[in-house]
Amino acid sequence: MVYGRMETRSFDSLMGRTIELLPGDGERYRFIFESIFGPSAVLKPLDLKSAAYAKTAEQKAVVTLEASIDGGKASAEGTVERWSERSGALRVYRPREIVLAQRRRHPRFAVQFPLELGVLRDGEMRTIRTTTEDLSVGGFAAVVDEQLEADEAIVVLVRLPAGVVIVTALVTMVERARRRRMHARFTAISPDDAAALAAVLHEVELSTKSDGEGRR
Amino acid sequence: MSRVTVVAIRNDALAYTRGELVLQSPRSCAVRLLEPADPSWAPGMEISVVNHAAPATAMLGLLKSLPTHDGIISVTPFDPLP
Repeated sequence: MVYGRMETRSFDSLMGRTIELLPGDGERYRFIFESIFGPSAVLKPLDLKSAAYAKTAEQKAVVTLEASIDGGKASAEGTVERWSERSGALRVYRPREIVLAQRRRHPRFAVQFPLELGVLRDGEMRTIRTTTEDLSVGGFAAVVDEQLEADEAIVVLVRLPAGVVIVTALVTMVERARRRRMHARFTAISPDDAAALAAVLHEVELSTKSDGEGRR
Repeated sequence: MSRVTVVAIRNDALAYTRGELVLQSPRSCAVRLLEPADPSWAPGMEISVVNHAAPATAMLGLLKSLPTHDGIISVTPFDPLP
């Protein structure tokens, strides 16, 4: 559904994803949207700080719920129902929809190119090999064999048909429901590599325009 | 000094060299290599510097000079994407 430039999504469609809860005091708490219970979303805290907040959250407090969607931020208001000791989760009356505050800048294409991700583990760089699930001039999505974290800095090598490009990137989202699917936003790319990437994606766009497939 | 890893492309794959960050500014970065540089390194090649500080950061730029006698290289960073 689109209102002018504001795109909305069903809040329930975020089940399985990480939700950040902002009570309005400048703090952010991280939860996984585990399930739906009656009118509420069941939010499991992802760290001790969030659990401590959840246990003492004031009932009926209005909070902001934020999520990363398609490389952008989406937010909505919710109301705290209560902490459930039995399920170890915070129940929040869920909004019907969540509004994408920021749209993706670059169109992504469902193309598969080999990737190497350089990630820092225990003080050493390691290479994870995978394939793009989608790619744009601004970032990509891929499924990886190990857990990455949001805001993790990585080095990316993309094997394009015309050669390899090297890029630095920031992990923007890890989908918990689809356990190892991650999204990353490029943070730096050389002009030559940016041109090579744009050229490949332009070819993809031209080849998919006729049947309308490929672009996401 | 921050521990860093210098990342370059070797034989179409990511290759890593350990180092220490000795200087960083918006326009330049100097790294002391803790291991010998790849002999095929040449000024102008694209390399990335991953700073192990928490949270880790990664910077991409061009190698400005080959290692000096004390193993220091300088890197000119690319501007981040808008």
